Amino acid sequence: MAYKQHFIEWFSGKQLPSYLTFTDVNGTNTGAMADEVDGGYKITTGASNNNSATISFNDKRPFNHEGAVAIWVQKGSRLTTSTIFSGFGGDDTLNINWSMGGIHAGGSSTHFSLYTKDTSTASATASSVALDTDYHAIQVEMKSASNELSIEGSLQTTKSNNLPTIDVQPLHFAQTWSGGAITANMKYLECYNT
Amino acid sequence: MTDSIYDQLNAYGTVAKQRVVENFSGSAFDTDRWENGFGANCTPTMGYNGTEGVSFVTNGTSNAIYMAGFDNKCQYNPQGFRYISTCKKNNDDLGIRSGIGDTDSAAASGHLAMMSEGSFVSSRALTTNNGGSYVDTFATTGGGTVPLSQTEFMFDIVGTPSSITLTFDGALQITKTTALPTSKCQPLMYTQDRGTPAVKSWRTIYMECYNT
Repeated sequence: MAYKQHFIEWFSGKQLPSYLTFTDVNGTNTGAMADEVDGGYKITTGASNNNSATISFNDKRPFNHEGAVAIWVQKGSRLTTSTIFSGFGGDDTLNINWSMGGIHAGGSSTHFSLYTKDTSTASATASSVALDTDYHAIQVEMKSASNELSIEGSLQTTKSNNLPTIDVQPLHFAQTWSGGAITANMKYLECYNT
Repeated sequence: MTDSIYDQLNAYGTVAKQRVVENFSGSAFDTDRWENGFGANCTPTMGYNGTEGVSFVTNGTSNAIYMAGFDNKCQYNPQGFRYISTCKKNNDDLGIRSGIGDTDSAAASGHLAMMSEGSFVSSRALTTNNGGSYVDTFATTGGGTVPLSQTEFMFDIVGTPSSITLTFDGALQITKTTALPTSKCQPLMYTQDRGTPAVKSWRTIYMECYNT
């Protein structure tokens, strides 16, 4: 079997490697390697409503929207009025074509969820894992007719509507909806085509 | 077999802890990851013409030094970590330490656990500090002291709340229960020209560090 694209990032060192790009989506936010045990890379949003940022491949999209896996380890600082999710996306400002998992409390979800968006419509399916501020190992698998969300290795959700229609890049996203700044830590990210 | 490296490194259902793997392979030393926090007159040089990894090369100036760290981004727990690397030096009058510490300056590092080779020590040692002074501990098991040498070797430092061990080429040599570091740490690689100044170097081809 031919080898396929595979990416792995440990988020450990002085700064974000140059092959990953930090982007302010809205407002002014910061990102840096965390000076914390098991801290990885941390995005800290600005305090104003809707301030948000991503890290990505600067819209280089080597992963197949109908056959790829992303596995990452993340945590978020607040479970209400925030979005902290990661996975795959078509553009680094999170407009369209994404498949991501994590916290979307701004959308009133109280559980980790799988969120997808095609070229126009976003929708979510919740898992059975209640939100908390601990690290979790989250996986999204993009298949030809469905996307799957697993947490700590256990399949949680299968979703077949509003799936991305173009190839994708890794994304890590944090947004405060209201209530001040939030932080989002990421200490592992792996993506590969299947 | 799974295609996921994550699944190969971590037991099913577990959340991975911080890890870094450095292969020291490429056109230049990775200064996104590493920072020289202490020193001058020593340059990290990537291997060529069959020389592997990265070599820390002094320029012949007296007391040339270099300390590569993570710019004091300390993500590793000295009471639950593992640090694996390799070392090969080309001159006996060269001081080498490699491991973890809380500060990327040999003048200030207060908490550390590092393998010491070369003229810092009389034989290979596990050097630790818990906020006081450096304490070198030499092998007392596995056949006595481990002489300094210019032969390439692998070493493995493991920290727990009650001890730190040092293994050379798979053989456990040192178990230490005193002067154990407690502050969060980063990977560190330290070089110092000692004795008669000359162009000297040591190289490493692999470094892996993770919390346990």
